[in-house]
Amino acid sequence: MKKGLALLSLAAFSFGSAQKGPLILNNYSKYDFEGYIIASNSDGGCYPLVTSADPDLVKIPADSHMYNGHELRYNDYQDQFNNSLYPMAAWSVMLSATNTTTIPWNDPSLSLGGFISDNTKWAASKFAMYYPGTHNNAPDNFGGTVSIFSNCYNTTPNFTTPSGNMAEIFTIDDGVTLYTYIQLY
Amino acid sequence: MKKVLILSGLAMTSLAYSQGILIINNYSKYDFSGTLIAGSTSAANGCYPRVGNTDIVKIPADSHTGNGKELMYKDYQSQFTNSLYPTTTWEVYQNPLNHTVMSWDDPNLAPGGTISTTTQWYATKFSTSLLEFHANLALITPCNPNSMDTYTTPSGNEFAEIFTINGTTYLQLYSL
Repeated sequence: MKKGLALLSLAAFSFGSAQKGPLILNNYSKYDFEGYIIASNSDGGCYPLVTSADPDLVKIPADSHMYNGHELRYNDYQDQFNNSLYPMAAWSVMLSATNTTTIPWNDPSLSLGGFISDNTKWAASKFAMYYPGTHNNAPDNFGGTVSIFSNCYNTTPNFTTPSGNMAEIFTIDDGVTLYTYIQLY
Repeated sequence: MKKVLILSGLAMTSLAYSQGILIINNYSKYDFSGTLIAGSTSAANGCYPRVGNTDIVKIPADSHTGNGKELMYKDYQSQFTNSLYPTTTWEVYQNPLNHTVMSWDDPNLAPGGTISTTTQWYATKFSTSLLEFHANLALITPCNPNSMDTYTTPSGNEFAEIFTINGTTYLQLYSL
């Protein structure tokens, strides 16, 4: 019985926070990833819009993914700071086109169950890919934007460049947790 | 000694500004027509020179790195032979009063030259095949502290932004 209750409360907790689950970025490609991570209104509108701010660019080396433990994993805006390999010290939060604030990761307004967390989902990345250790663009200027959910960043959720580089964003919902994946090949 | 100072001053200028690459991804379903503007972003330099294309650049709807149809300008010269959207002549303003039209292959526009090393892609004025989707966008710099770097149409269905990643300037357009 106790177990049942515990499970129930866990489930309620997960539903209560619309951020709902982790962002996992797997860079399977042979190029370094540098880009912005974006969450936006969970109903598909633009705002609130949350963007990586300190550092503004998330940098994930070539060949960093779940199979070697080097993937980026952000459980939520706060937890990521202590538990991710790529900690984000501050987020830029736009409540409207004319209202932008940079908020430290541990600010109470970013906590799970708060307004910002409840009303946003991981939505997009705009990024560039480079030959490892350089800022020389990968073939086909591999980069750009992939997105889901967002009215602001409305692109296809995946693309393949003429020479075969691929980027995708997608979600897996197991009923309790919504996993958002960004993957580069 | 004076010479050394001048040289180091030049070197600093070069480090501070290099033109960088311009990439335009038009993810929207509307055709883009616009002017692409590079300039000094240093208030100490008076925010000049500034450079813009003479003829309007046109980029069809759905043209981006995802399908190999993005606009990519590496510098004022190589774009003519390497870009899908070549610019033939540039309007060069050394200051507000001194204006020259230069062919793409003018030696003054060479990479490493003063114009190239003191300017960065920072702004655009564009319209699209959708009447309400047009804007002037510029990176927020000491020369443009109050500029707009994103634009959303009144309907909320179209969005444009200008931003940089490691010195490469991106202009991206989106629509529902």
